[in-house]
Amino acid sequence: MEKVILKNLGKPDSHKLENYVASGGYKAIQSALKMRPDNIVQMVKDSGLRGRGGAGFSTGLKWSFIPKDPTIQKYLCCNADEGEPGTYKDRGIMDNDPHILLEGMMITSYAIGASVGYIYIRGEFVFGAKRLEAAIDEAYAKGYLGKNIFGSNFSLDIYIHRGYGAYICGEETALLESIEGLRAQPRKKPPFPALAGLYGKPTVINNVETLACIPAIIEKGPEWFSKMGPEKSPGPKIFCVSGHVKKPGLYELPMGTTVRDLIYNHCGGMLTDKPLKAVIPGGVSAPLLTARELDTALDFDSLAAKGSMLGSGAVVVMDESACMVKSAYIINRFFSHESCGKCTPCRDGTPWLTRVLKRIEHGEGRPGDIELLESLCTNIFGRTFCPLGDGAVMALRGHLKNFREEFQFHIDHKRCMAS
Amino acid sequence: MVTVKINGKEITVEDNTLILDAARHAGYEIPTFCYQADLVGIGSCRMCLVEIEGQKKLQPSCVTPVLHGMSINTETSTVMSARASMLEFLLANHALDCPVCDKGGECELQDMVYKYGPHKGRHAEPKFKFQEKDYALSPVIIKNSNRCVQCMKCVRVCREVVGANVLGALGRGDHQEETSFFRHFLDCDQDGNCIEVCPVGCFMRLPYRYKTRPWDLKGADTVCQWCGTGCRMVIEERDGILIRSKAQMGVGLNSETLCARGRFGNDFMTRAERLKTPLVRRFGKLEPASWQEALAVIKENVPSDGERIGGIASPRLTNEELYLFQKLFRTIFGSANIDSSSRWGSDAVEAFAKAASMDAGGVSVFDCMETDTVLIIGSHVSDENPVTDYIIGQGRRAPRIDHTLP
Repeated sequence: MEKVILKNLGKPDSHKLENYVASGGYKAIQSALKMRPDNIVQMVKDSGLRGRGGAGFSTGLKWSFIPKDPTIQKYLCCNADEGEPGTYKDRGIMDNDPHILLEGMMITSYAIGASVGYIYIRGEFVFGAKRLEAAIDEAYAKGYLGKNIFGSNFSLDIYIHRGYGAYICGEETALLESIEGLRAQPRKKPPFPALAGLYGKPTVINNVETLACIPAIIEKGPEWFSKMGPEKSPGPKIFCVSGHVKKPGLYELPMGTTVRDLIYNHCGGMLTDKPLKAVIPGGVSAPLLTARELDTALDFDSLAAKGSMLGSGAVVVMDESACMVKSAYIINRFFSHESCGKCTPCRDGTPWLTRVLKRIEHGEGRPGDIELLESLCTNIFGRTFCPLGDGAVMALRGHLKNFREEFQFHIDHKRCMAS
Repeated sequence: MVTVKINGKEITVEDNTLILDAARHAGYEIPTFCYQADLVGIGSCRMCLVEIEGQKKLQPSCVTPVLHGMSINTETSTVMSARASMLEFLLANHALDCPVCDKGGECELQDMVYKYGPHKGRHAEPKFKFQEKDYALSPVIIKNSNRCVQCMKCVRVCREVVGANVLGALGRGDHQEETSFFRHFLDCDQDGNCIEVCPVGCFMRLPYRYKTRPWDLKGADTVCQWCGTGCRMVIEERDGILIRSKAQMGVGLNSETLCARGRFGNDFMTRAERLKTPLVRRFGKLEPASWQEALAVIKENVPSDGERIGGIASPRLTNEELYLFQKLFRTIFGSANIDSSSRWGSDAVEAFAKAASMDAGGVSVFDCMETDTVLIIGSHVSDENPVTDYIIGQGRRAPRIDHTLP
C-alpha cells in the first residue's frame, strides 16, 4: 500500500519544510483555502474518517458541531499527549514529519474558523516538541503561519503546550484544563468542547494521526479515502506493534487488516518458536484477543463486535512465556498510578484492584480473590467520571475472561503457570 | 417548568433543576459528599448516582438537570448497591480512627455508612497513609488527610465563596491531598470555612481538639455580635463553658460561612482577661468594684451642669442601646453633648441614606449584587465585615458584574 501518513518516514531530513514541500506538501492547504469551510467539513464527513485517538468518533461530524458565527473565537487543540502504553504513532509523526501535522491543523482551523491552534504535547516528548517548534518557526518565516497565510485572508497562530506527565492529560477536557493552567482533571460534559471548550470557547480537539490524514483527504478526495478498508471505518491506520514479534514497529496499513496478517506478514511472525498466547489490539485498556481470534480485522467495529476495541492502535503481542496475572497486574498498576483522583470508584477502586493483583502475582493470593476482583470491576465500571476507570476494568476483565485458570493456578499453587 | 417522574411520583419543577434537588423536593433524600448548593457542581464523589430510564449508565444527579418526561429512580437495588460500593471504596483508604476523631458523632461518612452500608469491609490490604501525625495548617486549623473523602469542598469554598484561594490539591489518584501550598502555614484570614464544609474529620478546629463529643454539646441559635453583617450561628456549650460556634448551611445570609472572629473569637467569654465587674480608679490604679460602688463614683463626679459633660457612643451599639444612651444623657444628665466615633457627619449620613434608599426600607447586600457596580465607601470591608466581603466577592467573580471598587 502507498503510505499516506508515514509517507516521509525514513527519508533524510524529512522534518524540514523544504523536503516536505518537495514531497508535495502544503499543496492541500492552498487548495483548501480556495474552498468554502463548510465544504471541507462535508468532505471530511464524506471520507468517513473516524478519530484516531481511541474513541473513533466521526471527525467531520465533530467539526460540524462548531457554531458558524464568525464573531465567536474558536480554537483547535491537537491532542499529542500520547500516553497509552504501547502507543508511539503520534511521536513517529511529530519526530519525523512535523509539517504534515501543521498542514492538517491549518486545514482544520480554516474549516472550523479557528484562528489559534494549540499542540498539547506529552512532556516526555522533548525531541518531538523541539522538532515541532523548529517546524513552526519555518512555517512562520515562509508566511505559512501567522497573518494572512499563503496570501489568503485567513490567519492562524499555532502554539506548543508541553504537558506535565500525566496520562489523564490525554482525556480531552483534562487537556483543556491543563492548557488553561489548571489541574488536569476531566470536566463534566455537557457542555461539550464544541460549544464550550478552551477558555469557554468552541473547541475541536483532534488526535495527531487524525489531523495528519486531513491533507490527503483534501488532495485525493473523500472517495479515495472512504474506499480504503471497511466501509464504516475507512482509511489508513498506523499500528504500533510491540512484544514478541520479529519486527516490532510502526506499520501503516489499511483499516481492517487482520491481526494475523499484521503479525505474520508484516512483522515477520513471532519472535521465537513459542506460540502466540494473546494480543492486546488497541492499547492496554483494550481487552485482549486470544490465539483463536487472530482473524479479527483491526478496525473500530470488528473489534467492538469481539468485545474489544481499536483504541490507539497499539498492538501488544504476547507468546506462551507471558504470565497473564503479571500482565494484568502491570496494566492495572499503570491505571491506578495514573488515576487523576477526581472520582471515588477510579481513585480508590483501581488501587484496590492493584493491591489484590499484586498479592496474587507474588504468591499471596487467597481463595475468593477472583470473585473479589470481579465484584470490584462491577462496582467501578460505568460509574466513573471519565473512561479511565472503565479502561482499567476492561483490561482486567479481558484477562480474567480468557485466562481465569491462570489466576486460579497462581492462587492455588502460589506460583506461575507460564514460567 | 418541566414534569418528571421520580420513583413513580410525578413532580413539576423549574427548568434546569438538578435531579438531586428535584428528588429532595419530591421527598427522596439522595446522599452526596461533593454537592453543595452554592458551589459549582463537580459530580465527583459518585454517591448521588441515580437511574434514568432509557440510559444505560447511572448518572450523577448533582450535575444532571431534569429534562421533561424523564423517569428517574433513586432507590432501586442498582442505585443502592452503587451507593454502598462508593462507601466501600471510600472506606478502603479511610483511616477509620473514629474513636480519636473530633468529627465522630457528626461525621457524614459515619452517617452514610450507617444508613447505606456496607457494614462489612472486604478491603484487607495495607492502606495508604498520607501522614503518621496530624499537622497544623494555621494556629486554628489542624489536618488529618488520612480521613479525606476528596470532595474538594474545602478547596472550592476557599476559592468560590471566600475568595482566598489558598487551598489546592497535591498529588494524584489516591495520593491526592487537598491542602495548602506544600503543606505550609496558610496565608489567609484563618476563617476556617474549610473546616465548616468538611464532611469528615480531615479539616479540624485546633481550639476544639479533643475537648468534647458533639452529643455532649448544647447549642443555641444566635446572631454573631462581632460586626454589623449579622451572621446567624449556633454557639455550643458544655458544662457552662462555650466550646465552639458554627454556621449552618442555608441559614442566615452567611449560610455556611463565618469569619475568623465569628468562628474562633468567642472564647473571650471564658478568658481570665475578660472584664466581669466595673473597674474604679483608686490612687491611679484600676480596681474591681461592685456596680453599686461604681455608680456611686459616677454620681459623685457628674457635674450638675449638663454643659460640662458629654458622651461618645460606639458605632457598634445596637439601636436600642443607642436610644438608652442618649436618653441617659438628655434626661438624667441634662446634656445634649452626644457624639459617636463614626467618621461621618450628619450630612453624609443623610446623603448616604438617600442614595442607598434606606429611607424606603433599604436594600440587602444581595440586592446590591444585582447591580452593575458596587461602590464601597468608608469601610475596609474585608477586615471589618468579612462575610459581607464574601458576598461581594462572589458577585465580583460572577461574570455579570464588571467593576467593583473595593
